[in-house]
Amino acid sequence: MATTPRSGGASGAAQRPNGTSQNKSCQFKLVLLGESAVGKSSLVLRFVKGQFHEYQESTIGAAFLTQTICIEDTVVKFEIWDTAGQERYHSLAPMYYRGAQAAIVVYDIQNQDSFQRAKTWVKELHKQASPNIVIALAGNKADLSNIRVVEFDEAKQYAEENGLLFMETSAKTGMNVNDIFLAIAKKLPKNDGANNQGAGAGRRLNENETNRQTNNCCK
Amino acid sequence: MEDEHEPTCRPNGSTSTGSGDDISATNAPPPPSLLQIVQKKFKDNEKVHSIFEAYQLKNQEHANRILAVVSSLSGGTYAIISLSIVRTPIRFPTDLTCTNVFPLNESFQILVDGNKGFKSQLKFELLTGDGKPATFYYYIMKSEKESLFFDDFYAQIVSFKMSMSDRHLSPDFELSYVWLNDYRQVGEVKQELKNRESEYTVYNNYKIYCATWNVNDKSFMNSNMNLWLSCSTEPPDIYAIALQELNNSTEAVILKDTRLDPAWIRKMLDSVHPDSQYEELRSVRLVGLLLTIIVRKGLKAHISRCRINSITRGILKMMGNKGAVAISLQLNEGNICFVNSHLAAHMANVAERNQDYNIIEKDLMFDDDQRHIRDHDHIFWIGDLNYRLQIPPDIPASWLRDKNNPFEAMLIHDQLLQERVQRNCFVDYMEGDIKFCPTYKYNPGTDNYDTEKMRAPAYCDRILWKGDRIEQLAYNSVMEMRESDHKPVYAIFNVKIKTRDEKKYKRVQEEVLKAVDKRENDNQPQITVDTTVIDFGVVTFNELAIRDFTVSNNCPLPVNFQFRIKDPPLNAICEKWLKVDPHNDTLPIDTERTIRVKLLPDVRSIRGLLKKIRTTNLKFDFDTLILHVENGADKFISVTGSYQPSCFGLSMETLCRTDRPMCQYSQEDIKQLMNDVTPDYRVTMPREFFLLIDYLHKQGPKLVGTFQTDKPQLPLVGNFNLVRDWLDTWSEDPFPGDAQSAAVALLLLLKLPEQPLLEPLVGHLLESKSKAEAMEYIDILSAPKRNVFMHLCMFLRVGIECQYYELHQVASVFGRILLRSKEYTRGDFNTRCSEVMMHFIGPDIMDNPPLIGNGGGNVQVSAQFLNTS
Repeated sequence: MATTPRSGGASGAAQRPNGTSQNKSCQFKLVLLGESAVGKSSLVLRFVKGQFHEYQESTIGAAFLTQTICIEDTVVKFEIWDTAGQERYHSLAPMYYRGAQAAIVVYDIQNQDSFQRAKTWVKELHKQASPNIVIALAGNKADLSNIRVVEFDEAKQYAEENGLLFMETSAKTGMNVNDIFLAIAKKLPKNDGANNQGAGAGRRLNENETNRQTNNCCK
Repeated sequence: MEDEHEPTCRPNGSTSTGSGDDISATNAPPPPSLLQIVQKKFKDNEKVHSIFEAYQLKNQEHANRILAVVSSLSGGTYAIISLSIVRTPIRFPTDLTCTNVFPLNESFQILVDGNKGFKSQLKFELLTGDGKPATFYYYIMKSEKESLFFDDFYAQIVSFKMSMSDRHLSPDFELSYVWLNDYRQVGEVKQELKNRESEYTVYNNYKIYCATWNVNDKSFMNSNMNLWLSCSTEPPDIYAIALQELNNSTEAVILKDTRLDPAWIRKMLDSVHPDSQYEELRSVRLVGLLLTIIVRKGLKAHISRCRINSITRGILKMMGNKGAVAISLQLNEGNICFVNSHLAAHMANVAERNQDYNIIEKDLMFDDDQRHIRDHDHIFWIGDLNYRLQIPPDIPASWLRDKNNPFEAMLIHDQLLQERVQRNCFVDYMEGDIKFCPTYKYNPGTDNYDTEKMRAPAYCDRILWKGDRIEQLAYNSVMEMRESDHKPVYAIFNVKIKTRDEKKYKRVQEEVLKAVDKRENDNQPQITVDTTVIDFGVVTFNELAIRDFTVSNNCPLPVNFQFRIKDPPLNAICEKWLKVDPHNDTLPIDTERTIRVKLLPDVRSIRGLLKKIRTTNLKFDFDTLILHVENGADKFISVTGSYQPSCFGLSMETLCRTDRPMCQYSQEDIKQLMNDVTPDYRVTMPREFFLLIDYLHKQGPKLVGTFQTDKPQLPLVGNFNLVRDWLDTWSEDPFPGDAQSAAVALLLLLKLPEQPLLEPLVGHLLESKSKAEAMEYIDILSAPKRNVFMHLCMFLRVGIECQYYELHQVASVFGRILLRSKEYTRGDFNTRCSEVMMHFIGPDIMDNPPLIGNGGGNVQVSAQFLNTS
């Protein structure tokens, strides 16, 4: 039986009859994808805790964190799934990006292969993820731009051609980290919708999720 | 066998599965019940036992709640979850949001407050140890038939709580309330924001202009109302204009006339302060009573709620010639109520006036949110309250008519002031000092007191208020308006209305959200695993291998974990060749659990395993397990090792590409051979197959009893693995089994490859009309398949001839193996399989041996085989 609608619902705040609206709140599932060691976990750590670890251990699995931000009159809660980048775990990725309203595909500006891999991820998302998914491309390790191999303009052009948000980020310095999440939050639809989920109920992936409708809406 | 597919065609007349569209097309499903909608707010393993309708008072606001009694299978615990209603009617789970969570833990209490008055009997409190109790009220009448009555609700909670207390005594069962975190946050954020209200609340000044006039059934359309309505220096923000005796006609009284004449409103709008622009917010009329709220343009955007109601207190207490009309509104965060009342008339009726007041105060309610007059931050009670000046008999009646009397002297005799002192009415209300003449009763058109009935002058027309942060700036009557026997009265107030400073609010909200995020992220349950790679080393067909690993909980919470079910087509936590035990468990704090992983590539799973080996591009893992921690992260556990190839499961083509015993091949070698599509074969038929046939052929009468079924008994008997090794090593030793075990090995050799032997021509063969046609198809099979098939047929014919086994039996057994099909769905599959096989092993063929493209008779094939080996 279908239970709680999954992520992406909004906990509704009542619209006042005469115009002044109380805060809307939305919940979105966001997944980070990209080759291993490009800095996915570091980006999340910087965004969520404002920290940076020089030696971030490799993610073997999928870490889950939440972070809430306010844009205009909307409270946007991100449920962030930071996935393992190793190719070995590639086949498990759909379990995490399925039902996601947003994805950040990360590459390392010093690593051409990681950029090619990012393109493959984008292709896969376009083919298999929910059709309205908001995808951001993050060229991470921008603090090392003097030894870059992926040119800014090349990545930007690719992003434009594929309808992606694009920023070069640095989890180390914090450059553009909040901004990329904010840009995603702004781009996500926050219109009224039929489904919502109160209180973050059942926001986790679970085995029944395949059968459930997801939605990107708020009220 | 699990991955065996039998044609699924059912005989005629088999029962339908009942999913028929024809049924659903005519009968639309009934709309879900409230209980079903509430259930959908929760997860699959959480059960809503019952719902109970209640309401809460929040900021003096009545808020409807649905209390759901929910249990969690994973936690083994119960809780009451309070849901607020986002909109009505409730049709989707989204129409409800969780506002509060009350775990039925040891500190939980439900307090019933039963020995007070009639109203408070319907009140109870929920208490969960940490923090103040939450107060709920309930209705005597329930509107949802699924909602429990209070007594049943109470009894159920008590019984659930007791059932858990019992389990607390059991040492090996730990109750967990972690599941509730999913429903907690919104309420938590709200509560925290409320606690910090003072940090973002400011009080903005608003000028409120209240005005009352008993027009004595006269038209006021031509009166100079700006004398009354624009007395303030600054333009007010809000006007509350109250009229009485608008229409005293019997008709209006009987019909309880509530119609509004736009001309009246226009007249008022024309008469208000000229220095600002105004618009009507709302008006309410009951017979002679009219209350109109006019607001400065632009203010509507800050008014979020506006409700009206009225109450009759006239003739028989039913007629509308007396009573009250009222408007309730919310301006920013402040709730304001305006009441216009016309209370019982005549000097002697003080008690009736008090009663009218008390009834209005008690009964007038803004229905949709159950709000009384008293449930407002700022209340303005305006009207012809009809209280008189009652002088003692020793003072001559004419004394009141002396306009030189000081107001204070007259007001000593004011019934309203006296009754308020006695606390008989308007308790806790305020009124400004009266510095004007009595407003009643004048000869219309004059400033002279009534000479017709010689009524005593009185301060009938009054404006009172109740609430914080209200300052009266003016309170006066307007003598110059002479149309009525009453003089109009007005009062101007400065009210500091509670307002949210949006910037500060946003800052506090961000802080609160951040704190909640942090707590949520920091308190995530976590487990550690002693390895993320389980290496099975070398794995062999039909050999069970076992590895254990340990998960431990060293976080400060009990943890529920489970292996996550993977996407279709697998729909299981792991591949078929693996078994994991347990699938899920709860780990109390500081405990660990051994997880056992068994790996067995057997008859059931070898096809899938070989396919995975063939198709995996990068590093091969037998599988990756996803260890999911409830409310936390996932860990991936790789199950790795290498598969030692065996002839079982490999296609005849692949086997014909080998040039040494299978034991000398690695997993990687065999992957290459499986992916090789060139027609370059090293032998005409697999040596393993030939050796088996050769051995079987020599068994003669011992073959009796073989080939009885295409489904060998599992597990395979003890010496099967010896047979496997004999074949995989091309052993020179004597065959390590007997006719029976060789027959089983032969069947498996033919049965286990991903493709049936006669593929890709199975479909054609099953449809073939004649022996000749079938033979043509056999002729175009790949050489290894064709040779194996023909060799097998010749071997079988010998056995049939010698009556070691029966033709139809063997045709059926081998037919189903060699012609296995997922596509052929007709009911005659078994028959067709036998028929096709009969062409090749049946007696008539014996007389006319078929022409074989490459090979021919038994002897010839063996010779060829030996030549190439």
